[in-house]
Amino acid sequence: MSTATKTTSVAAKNDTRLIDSLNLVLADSYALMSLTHLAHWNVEGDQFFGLHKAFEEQYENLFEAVDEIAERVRALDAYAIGGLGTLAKTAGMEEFKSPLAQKDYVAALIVAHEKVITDMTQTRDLAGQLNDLESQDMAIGRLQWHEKTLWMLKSFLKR
Amino acid sequence: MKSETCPAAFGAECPPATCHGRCAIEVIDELLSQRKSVTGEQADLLLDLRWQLSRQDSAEEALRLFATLRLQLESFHYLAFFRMRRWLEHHIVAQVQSCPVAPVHLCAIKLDSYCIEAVRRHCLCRSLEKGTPLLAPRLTFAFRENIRHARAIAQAKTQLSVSGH
Repeated sequence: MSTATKTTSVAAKNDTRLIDSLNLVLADSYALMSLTHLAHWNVEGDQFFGLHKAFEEQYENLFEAVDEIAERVRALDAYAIGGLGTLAKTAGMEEFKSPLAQKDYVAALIVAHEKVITDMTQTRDLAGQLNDLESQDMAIGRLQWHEKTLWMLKSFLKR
Repeated sequence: MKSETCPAAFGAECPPATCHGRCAIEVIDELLSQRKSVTGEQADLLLDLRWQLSRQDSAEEALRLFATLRLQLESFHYLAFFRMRRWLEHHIVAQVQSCPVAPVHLCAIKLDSYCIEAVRRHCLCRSLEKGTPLLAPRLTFAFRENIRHARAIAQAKTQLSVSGH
């Protein structure tokens, strides 16, 4: 009887699609973290304190997420992508320039979260197909957080 | 998530980022499908804008309709108008000439203001900042895709004339 731990399917480790997909959501999350940080620094207006604090909580969560995703890539015996240029190019996310109206920061971040959700959903489904429940669980957790954040941001824009 | 209904879904000139956003036509359809989200008059204007965006005949008219609708509806549908604004900024461009015989320069538009004349002034100011002397300036708005088509036709005509056909 083998004493080795076999939690992740061999198919998942050998499938480059899953690695590519994980690296894409890594890039997405990094790009979104950067945009959220930018919004945190530069937001102005009557809702400053609320938005400044909310954006801080969001980029802190994303900072932990990128580490988790990158380490999942390593756990699958692959390498995580990195470097600002590579991450930005891979994510392909529209960057905004300050100054913006405070509502525009929120709207731009909503669009960015939607992009992450689209890619993360594909990662979740692919991990499921390959029976990599650990990657799938991580993607589900991230999706829950992004959807909750999306709800909060959209609620801010409601009149 | 490139929209199949996006009339301006063209390769290189449409950066990937814009295709993650929803096409303006999709956003209009979403607004029209929501019960009681717009009045009958506003629905007519939205349909007119939808027509302009699908036909892509007049960027000027599309911007004028957008500005009218934005003034009336943005406070209730901020995200929808943000998406449309971004889409229009990526797909419509200002063509600036310093005088009627000067070459055309393309200038990206920023829909930060609620009035098309302010957008026009902003584009002219940006051209001035780039050092273009504006003697008798002309400015028209155009869909990027139409410009691309016009350039492709002109290029094909040149090639035909060079090859002697």
